[in-house]
Amino acid sequence: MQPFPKVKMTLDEYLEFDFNAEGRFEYFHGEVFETNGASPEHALLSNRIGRLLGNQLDHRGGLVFSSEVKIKVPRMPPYRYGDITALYGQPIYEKLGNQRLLVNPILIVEVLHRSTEIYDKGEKFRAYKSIENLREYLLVSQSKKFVTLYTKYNEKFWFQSEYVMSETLRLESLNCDLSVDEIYQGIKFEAEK
Amino acid sequence: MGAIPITSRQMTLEEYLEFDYNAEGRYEYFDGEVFEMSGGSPEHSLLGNRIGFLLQRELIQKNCSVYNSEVQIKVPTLLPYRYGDVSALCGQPIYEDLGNQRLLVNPTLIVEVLSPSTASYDRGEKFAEYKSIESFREYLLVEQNKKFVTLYTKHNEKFWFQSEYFESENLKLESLDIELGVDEIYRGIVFESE
Repeated sequence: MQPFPKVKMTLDEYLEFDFNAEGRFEYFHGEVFETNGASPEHALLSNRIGRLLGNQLDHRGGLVFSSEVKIKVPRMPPYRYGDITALYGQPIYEKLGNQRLLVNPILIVEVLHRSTEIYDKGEKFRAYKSIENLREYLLVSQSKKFVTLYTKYNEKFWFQSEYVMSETLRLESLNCDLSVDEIYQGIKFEAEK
Repeated sequence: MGAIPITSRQMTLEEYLEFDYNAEGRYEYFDGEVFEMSGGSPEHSLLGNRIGFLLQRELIQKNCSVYNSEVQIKVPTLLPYRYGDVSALCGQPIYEDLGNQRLLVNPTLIVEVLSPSTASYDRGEKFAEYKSIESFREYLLVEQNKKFVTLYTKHNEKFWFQSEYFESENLKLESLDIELGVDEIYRGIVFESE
């Protein structure tokens, strides 16, 4: 994340600012940060995963959201942005000023990039765990074919597993499969350029 | 650990082994490049030492070994070896000679105290590499700027359990059959925000 303005904002100022902004900004204790993807690969990967999920979910009552949806994270108010978010059944929204926050995502996907990966792997996951419906958290590297999946087991323990080239991962809660090769199809890595 | 490339030139594996053997610090080798694994902060040093002490205290009566950050751990998918902050096992340690060095082959627990420069590596790719150690069962990640500990416990070849621990909680290290208190780990550590 790039720290956006050096100025502090009140929560009300932030809500107004983020509502009118073109990018996506997150609020931490009075400071505002831009959560931009920063690379074409980030954009490609997010879009690809959204499409692969949509292909499997659209016709059976699932919903797949892009990175624009505001996710209500009880442990880290007011809301956060993920790269892809999905759920089954009816979405539940909660009003916050002009914004509508999504309350019940089942899956959140983050495409990792250098400036935010520490946050995504640590603090952000910790905060996401406070979303009651969340069952799966998927972290996607953009520098190589490497995907990490967390699947909820109970209130304290989550399963962690990793997937590399030619493997397929299963999203139990959505009854979907994602192939690593399909996720990365056509993506050129730094080392190969 | 902080990772700083120490030479602008590449080293062969032989040059690295000789260099690391004689060096005062700890250096890791990645495809011809050498990185210093410095702790970087007094808190890093305190936390590594504290966890070593707590493990030692619990295990002293048992046939177990607790290592500090000097031990060279053989990681099959990331040769020749890596350094953890603390590692431990119960039963007989197995070592393998590599030139002048003796590599530890069978740790069951590896602990990393996280630093900003390597936290992401420790939370992702380094863990993936450590999984190639056959005896490896538990991976403990310790934040140094707040009371926040992440534990991974092996379930089977594909899945590990992930759990998090905060103030006043205890975590169980099954491979060593002991418990650690988060408050004990961090006792006396003053965080920046305080």
